[in-house]
Amino acid sequence: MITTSHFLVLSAILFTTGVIGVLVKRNPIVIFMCVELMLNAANLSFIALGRHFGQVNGQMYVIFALAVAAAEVSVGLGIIVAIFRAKETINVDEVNLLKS
Amino acid sequence: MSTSNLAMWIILLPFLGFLHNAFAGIIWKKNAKKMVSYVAPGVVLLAFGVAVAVLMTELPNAHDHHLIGALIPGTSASTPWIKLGGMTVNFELLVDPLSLLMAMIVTGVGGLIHVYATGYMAEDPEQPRFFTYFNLFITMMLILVLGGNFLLMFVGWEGVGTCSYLLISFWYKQVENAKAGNKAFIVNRVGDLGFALGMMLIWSVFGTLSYFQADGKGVLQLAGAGHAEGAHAALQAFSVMGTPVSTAVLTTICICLFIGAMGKSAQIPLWVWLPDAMAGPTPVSALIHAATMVTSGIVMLTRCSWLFQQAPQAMQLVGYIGLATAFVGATIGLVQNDIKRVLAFSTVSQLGYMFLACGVGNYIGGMFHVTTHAFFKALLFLGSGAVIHSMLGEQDMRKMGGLKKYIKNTWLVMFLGTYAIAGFPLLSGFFSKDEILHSALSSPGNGMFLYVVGLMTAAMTAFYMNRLMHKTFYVKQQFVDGELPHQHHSNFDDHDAHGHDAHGDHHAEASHEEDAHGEEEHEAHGHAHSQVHESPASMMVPLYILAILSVGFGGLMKMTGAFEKFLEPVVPAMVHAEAPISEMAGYIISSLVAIFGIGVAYLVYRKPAVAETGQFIPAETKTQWEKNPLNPYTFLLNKWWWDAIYNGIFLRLGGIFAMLLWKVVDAGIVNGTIEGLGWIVGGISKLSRKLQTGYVRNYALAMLLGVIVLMLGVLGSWSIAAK
Repeated sequence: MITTSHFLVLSAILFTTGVIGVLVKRNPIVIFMCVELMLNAANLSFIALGRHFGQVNGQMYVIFALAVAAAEVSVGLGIIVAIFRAKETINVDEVNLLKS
Repeated sequence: MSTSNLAMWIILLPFLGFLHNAFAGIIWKKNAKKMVSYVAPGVVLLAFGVAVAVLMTELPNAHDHHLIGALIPGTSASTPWIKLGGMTVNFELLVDPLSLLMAMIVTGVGGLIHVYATGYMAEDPEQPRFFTYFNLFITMMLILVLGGNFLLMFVGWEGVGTCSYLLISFWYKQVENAKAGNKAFIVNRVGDLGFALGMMLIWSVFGTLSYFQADGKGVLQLAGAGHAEGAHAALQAFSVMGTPVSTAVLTTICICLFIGAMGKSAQIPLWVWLPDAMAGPTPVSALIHAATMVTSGIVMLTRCSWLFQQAPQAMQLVGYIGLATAFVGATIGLVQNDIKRVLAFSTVSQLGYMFLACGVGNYIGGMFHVTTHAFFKALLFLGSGAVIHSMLGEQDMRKMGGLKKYIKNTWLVMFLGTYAIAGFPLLSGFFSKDEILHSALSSPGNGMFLYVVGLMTAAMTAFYMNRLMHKTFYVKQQFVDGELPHQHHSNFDDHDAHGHDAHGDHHAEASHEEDAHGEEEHEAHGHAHSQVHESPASMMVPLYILAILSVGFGGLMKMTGAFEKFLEPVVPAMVHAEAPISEMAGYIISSLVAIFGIGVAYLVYRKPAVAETGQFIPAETKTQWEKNPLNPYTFLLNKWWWDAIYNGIFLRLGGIFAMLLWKVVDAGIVNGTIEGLGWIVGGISKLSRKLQTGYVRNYALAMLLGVIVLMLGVLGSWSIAAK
């Protein structure tokens, strides 16, 4: 029997994977993928909890999250393209412009 | 209370003149100089007319011998000027015999000097600026004497100081003139501090600054009331607003005010600025540094005489300081070579006499000497100005001599002025000086000492003034006519004017031999085209008027007693002790002393050897003496080393102290603290800057850690709440 707990544990594992990926990866594409992983881990827990409580809100929020994530990805990818045009690289360690 | 409607115009007329002169260039374009030379003397003489009108029409109707007037047309005398908490100061004028007398001296003598200055300054391209300051000075001086409270007097006091500064350094392109102006201004600040402190004390003791008030609680009314209870009882019973005022407080007030007077009237120890003030144009010396401004200390003391009468120790201080100044000034005057400097030290000395008179309680005598001194000292200064003018700017008496045959009229007026100040019998100075000496003799205490030193000073005065006359007019001519260098002082002049003060000694010695050669040549040519010329009528007419006053005023007033009767109501009567000699004996002794001084000068400078060179002590001996700083001649020539001592104390030691404050306190402590704080903050930032790596993942990690901490916090609080 697959209980709500299983979904939540899976969600936590996926989220942690995403976090670690964001922290250790240098390629922004991969970092993006990890961010998506984190988002979807959250989505999973939303749906699981929505089913657990028999409410529709959980699924509704996921639809919102997907729409926002799509918009965010398009902006993010645009930024990456712009950075590449300017600096000929997308390695995040070389794009440390916040440090003077 | 009686009021005056006219008095304000005495002040407003010169003020309008000041405005006119300041903007004359804009109003009249090219005619500015001409218009200024009409308007500037015009307004002052008009103000004199108004003062006379007030004297004739309003003062006789005054109740209690004083009138209160407004300063601005259309306002009333009690229009508040400053209202601060419980303090109200009115914009009021006080017209009484004392202020009116001073107003007439200031506008009368001042008007004559204005007329003279139109001639003297005619060639100066900055003449409108000169008369702007001159009229402003008259305005301020009138506010000083006519102001109805101490604060207005202070306004005038500072105003005349400013004008004095502006006029001393009028030819500011020569740096010594600018320095002399600074010196006068700075030394006066010391005195002004005393005045300000005295004023604050008066405010805290009397609760007002007005001399007279409608409710009878003016400063002078209260002080006068204390006086009326009898000299000794007054000291005990003198009370203001219910609380007895101790003599110590009154003495402090009086000494503070006297310090102010010391600065303005050039008394020891604040006298050093006056000789240097001669750097200004000669009319300035005559008007400000002889006839009017420098006497404002005596006017102030006389105005506060009711207060001083309650503080015998302060009076004694005034008397002794005055005597010391009179003596020291006269000794220095004996050896000066600059014609204006002799007169400057003579002024210092005569001001000392006036303070002596105030110190022994003879305020009327002091004011009498103020008046006669205004006449003859203005005359002498203007006469010396005419001499300088005719000598094309030369001020060193060693380069004059024999001028009598060139400028006979100037000689005549100078002669009369000299005899007047020397105290020759029956001239003005004789009566006023004798009045002071006699009252000093009959004052309780050390009357004899005051008298004898006063007589010695009188003898020296007679000597040095006649020395001036001999050196300038009688001894053999010391210059070559036709070869006089042009030294007209002005801002637009290429000639340096080094020869004109005592520092130019070597210069003078060097040119001396040249003179000897040129002498025969000069005799051959005759003086058909003499360079030395009599001054224009605009300069001579004021001199004649002043000469008449110098000769006749004193005797007239003494005979009719008008002066005493006029001032009697406003000052306390002198406390007389029995004079050891009669008034007639005093006259005879004074006459003998004056004639002795004149005679000594005559004997010394008529000796053929002296008359030849014009120098009693040969120049070589003087040069020898000057090398020894302890030689009496050098001692006097350098003003008792007074300037040197002040330089040592205030400039050197003060400089070291300032250096200490700068290097240690300011640069070390203050700056150190501020910079130390900055250094610490900088260090901390340097460390914390390392946290900012610029790597996105480090920031992300920080965010994550933050989230974890928050979550733990929330979970922890839940678990606590659950328990």
